[in-house]
Amino acid sequence: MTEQILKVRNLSKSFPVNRGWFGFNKRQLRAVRAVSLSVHKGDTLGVIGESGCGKTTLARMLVGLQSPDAGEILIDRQHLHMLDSVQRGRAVQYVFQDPISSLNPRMTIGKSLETPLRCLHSLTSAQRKAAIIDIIDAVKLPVDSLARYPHEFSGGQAQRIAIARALLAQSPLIVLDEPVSALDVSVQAQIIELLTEIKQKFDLTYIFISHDLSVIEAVCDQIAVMYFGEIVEYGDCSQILMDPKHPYTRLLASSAPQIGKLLTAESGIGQLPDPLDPPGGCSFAARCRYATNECIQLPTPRKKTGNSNYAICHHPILNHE
Amino acid sequence: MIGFVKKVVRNRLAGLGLVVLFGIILLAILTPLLPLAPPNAIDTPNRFVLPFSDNALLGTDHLGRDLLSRLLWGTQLSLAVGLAAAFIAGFFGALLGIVAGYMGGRTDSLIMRSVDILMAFPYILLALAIVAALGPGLMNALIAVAVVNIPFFARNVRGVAVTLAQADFIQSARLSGRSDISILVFELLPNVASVIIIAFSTTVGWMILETAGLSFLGLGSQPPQADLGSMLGEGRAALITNPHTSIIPGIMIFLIVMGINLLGDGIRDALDPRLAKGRLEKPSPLTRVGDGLIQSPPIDSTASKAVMDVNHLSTNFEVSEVVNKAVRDVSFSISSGECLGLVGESGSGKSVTALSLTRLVASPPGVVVSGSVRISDQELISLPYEGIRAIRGRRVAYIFQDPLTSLHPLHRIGHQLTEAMSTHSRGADSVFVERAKNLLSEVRIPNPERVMDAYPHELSGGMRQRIGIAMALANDPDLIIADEPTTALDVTVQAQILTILNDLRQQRGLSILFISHDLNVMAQICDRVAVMYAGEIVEMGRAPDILEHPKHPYTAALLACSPQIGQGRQSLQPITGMPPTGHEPLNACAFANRCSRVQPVCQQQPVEIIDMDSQLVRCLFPVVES
Amino acid sequence: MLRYIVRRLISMIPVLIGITAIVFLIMSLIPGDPATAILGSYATPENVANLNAKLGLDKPLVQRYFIWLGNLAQGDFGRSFSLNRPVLDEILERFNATLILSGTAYLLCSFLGVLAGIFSASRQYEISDKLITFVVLIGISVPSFFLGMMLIVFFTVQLRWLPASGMFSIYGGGDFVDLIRHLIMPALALSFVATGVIARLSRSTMLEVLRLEYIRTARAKGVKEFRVVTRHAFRSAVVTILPVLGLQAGFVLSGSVYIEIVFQWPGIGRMLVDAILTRDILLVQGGVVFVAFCYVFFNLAVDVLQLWLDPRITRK
Repeated sequence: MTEQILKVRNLSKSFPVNRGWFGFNKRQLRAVRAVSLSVHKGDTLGVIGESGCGKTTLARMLVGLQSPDAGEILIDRQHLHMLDSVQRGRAVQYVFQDPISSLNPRMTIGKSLETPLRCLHSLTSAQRKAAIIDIIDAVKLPVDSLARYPHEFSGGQAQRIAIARALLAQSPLIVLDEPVSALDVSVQAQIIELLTEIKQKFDLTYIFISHDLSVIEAVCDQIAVMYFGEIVEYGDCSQILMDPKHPYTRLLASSAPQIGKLLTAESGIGQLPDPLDPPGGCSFAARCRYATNECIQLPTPRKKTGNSNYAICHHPILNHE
Repeated sequence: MIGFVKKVVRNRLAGLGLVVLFGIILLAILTPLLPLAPPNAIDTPNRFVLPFSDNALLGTDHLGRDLLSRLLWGTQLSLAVGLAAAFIAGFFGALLGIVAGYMGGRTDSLIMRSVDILMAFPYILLALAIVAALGPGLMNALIAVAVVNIPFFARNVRGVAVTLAQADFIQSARLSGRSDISILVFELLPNVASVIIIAFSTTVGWMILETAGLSFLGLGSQPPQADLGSMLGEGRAALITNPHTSIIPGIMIFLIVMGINLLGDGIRDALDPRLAKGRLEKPSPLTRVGDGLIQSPPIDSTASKAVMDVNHLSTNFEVSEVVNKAVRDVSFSISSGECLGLVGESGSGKSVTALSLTRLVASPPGVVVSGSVRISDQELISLPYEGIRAIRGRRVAYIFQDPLTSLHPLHRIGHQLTEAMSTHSRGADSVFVERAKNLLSEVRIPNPERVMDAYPHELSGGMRQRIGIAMALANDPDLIIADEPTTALDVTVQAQILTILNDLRQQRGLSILFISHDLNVMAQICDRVAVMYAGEIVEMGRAPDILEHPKHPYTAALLACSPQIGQGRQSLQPITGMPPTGHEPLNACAFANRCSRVQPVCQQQPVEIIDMDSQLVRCLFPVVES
Repeated sequence: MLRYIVRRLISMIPVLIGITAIVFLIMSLIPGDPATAILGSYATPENVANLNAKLGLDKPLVQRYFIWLGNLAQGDFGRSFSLNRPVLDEILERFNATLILSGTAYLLCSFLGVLAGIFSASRQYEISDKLITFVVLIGISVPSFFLGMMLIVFFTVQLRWLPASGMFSIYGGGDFVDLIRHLIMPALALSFVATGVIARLSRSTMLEVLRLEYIRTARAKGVKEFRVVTRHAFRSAVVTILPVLGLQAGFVLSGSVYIEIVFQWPGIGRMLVDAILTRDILLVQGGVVFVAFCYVFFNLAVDVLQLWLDPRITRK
């Protein structure tokens, strides 16, 4: 077994919502609760969930853009919060969903790409130039892109630039936050292919965040399914998607439209619980057709469902019905 | 810089402002060199000489001082003081605003609370209080005007800085190892600069007015020195008898301020990102129709049992000289009870096609240049506004992509639903309300009573899209055009919305034109599918045929690069290259330069759409399965 | 709703205290002491010291502030030495006149400005739009006091239609019609600038709103264009325009200082300018605080109106 590059234990984050006079009885909006996961070097972990499930908050905590309320993040056995900004930038990088907005509109691409080399690695101007040319080639952009500004690029090209910048930081771990959601299908495939290619070339580890089950399935080794701030199912990607054990994962899989298969939808209105007033027991219980009284009242146990797979559920779907 | 000036002067009024202002500033600078009478030389025998007299071009004032000389010296003084005040206010205001916006937290609230308190004064009170404390005088008036305007700059700049501080590119600069100071200076400041310049250019005129005002009150420049404001103040005493002593400085102030305002508007237009693609244009209620509209010949209405017939429809976007052909020669028809899917990637023209049908494309810049759209016996493209209006929502209804932005945020759901009905039929409100509630239950909204009273922001995305559907159903239309109705929704909600639409189709026999970029979604609901690429329909036929046995290489490639669930890890086959832009005419197959089956002949001529086993294909070498 | 108002009222307390503190601090910067100003330069040092003690001016700054604040809270604004009467009496009398002038001008500019803006936006690039844009440009460029003077030259000197000064005729008059005749020119001059600002804002806001998706929805529903503009677009534009209308009240109040001077309107602005020139500190202090407080409360009312017009606010 290869070594773990990322280990996350009991990560939680709430956002204060100011309601009430003078900030008394401030209420907490729960975004992420007690998330634990680990990623082995060279793997791709997919994090999937619908809007409001906390996947972006989780991602931002992993790169230090947000600090957790509780829990710890270890990258290469080092606590993330102990690292200074330079060490952190060398340890983990982030690719944003909207590539164009992640590039400074008043700066040429060349300048934007230079920043990590200068600030993280203190390279000389000549070294920077050489490194940038190498990377630009690796992400298949023409060299004349360097003199241009972000708005001159299409979404797919801009995402290549954003990936190039993450590569220039030379961190072994990259968090990709919905890197292809804003792109058209044909461009999406280009970027996915590029990501696979550079992963091998530079020996990278990915955390791939997406709301699209089919994209996750195409690129990931492991998967973490998030619902309402928690991981509800975790394990080998293809095993879980072939045969989901958690009712929510099953709902996600059956809701995704596919050619040649008629889709089934849940009957209720299917809303998330109120994040200001989370339910005591399983947060999916209200939507779950297997829910029993204990789901509503008791804390939900983690049940092993396979070699390294588990589901947080009282009644995981173990035998095929 | 020259490019920027050109951009500003593109607004002709701004050019005028620039010329006027430039002239005045030049005069002010040259004043000491001009052969003028001394401005403060008193000559009481020659008081109140009228303008255009021999020795005084603009006449003299109550002490016989030469008005032209005083005017020019006064202009110089007013300009200098006003500009100085504006620079001071702009500098300190912007500094406070940037620091508050970027730092956030305590610093932000401390600065902004102070700014709030300063803005709680009507500005002149604060200025008066400051002048009262420091004593009358031009310098003190300058300080007063500058201080009073600092909060304005601070608040404006802070608003932008707060948004920018959260922007992705600032975050990624942080991840690239930049320090706070370096982010402030190199990343934030260049982006805030345009806001500062806009705020500056639109307030300089105002500050010149304010300093002139204080001088007018006798609190600014003190005699014998005079700026334009105090000249007006002195002239006022003789207003009735010798109005020229007031009119001359008054007109000068007016010219300066107007020049600045005109120029400021031009600068704002050139810098404001929202105005980057041209000025704010009001979209007309009806898409403009091109001059040389080519009407298709009348078709015999007896043969067609279609709900809608579209023939050779073409729509352009025309921004000044640049023409972008968004929809090129699109033809299709939808029969009663049928769901036709229009699928394509962004920029393929599918949404523009949908909007062109009832001429809803924003115009300017949209123009329907050719084609015909018929519903039963009516031709929509040449119909006048009132005729189209009667069809919109009544016979052809729309469901839009994002239910949050497409519902009116300030109208209650009930009102939006009943309005759809009362627009097209007369009736008692109670009848409409009842019908609206029924519609809401029909789209499976649990408690219609309560939802009727709700505002859109109080509902979830899925609920809002149900409202969107209910609203489209309000008048029992012949055709519903659904423009990416599930794209903004989560996958579980999308499944529900698709199920609702499917059930409604069966119960009501709805005809639907369903637009989407997602082939998988198409498969769930459509009877027939038309694939669009670069504004053209490239393939059309029965949904299972197209989705499982595509004949056009583009459709095939699109399917090959969409990942499928249940296939495990897979390598996708991306389509290389980019689609053509709509700027040039198509003299070849639009897909040729990305196509794996391309032959030289594909590049040489436009390709006609042909019928192949009841499937329309625009390809010379279609995919034939063995 | 009620809760929001109470919350806003409470949050206004620091603003109100801040206003008094700023005014007091600024006024304390005045060099020399008021006693000398009151008694004149021939006063003996003992007399000055006596008067200072009597006025409480020998105490430290902070203590003086709290004494003044305490008096304010009880409605005691002190006594004006130049007018030799209680400051509050003078303020109330003057404020009445200012309110008539500013209120009229404010209503006029709000109404005309918004109307012109909508009209202009819905007829973009037509002759009427260009005409309005031109007039508006003049409006925001011309100093209100100069405009006032030109009105006098034209309507009083040339046409002899309207009186040029005061609120009422000295001989006879004093009735409502007399007041209106005196009010027309100052109110017009005062509202012209603000009308321009409001019209510009209304126009651009309307143009922005008209491009939004829900306007397209309304059109797709077949709603008549007049209704699209008035019920859909304008309804949303109001939410943007209203806060600016609140701020414009401050500009109208500010402008009234000049207009009161030009038309010799017996309002608070003229009082303040006179008080500054005679260094009547208590009068300046009291006047500024009083008007600022009125303005703050007016903006509170605007906020409440905003809350009522925009249901999204309570949620945030």
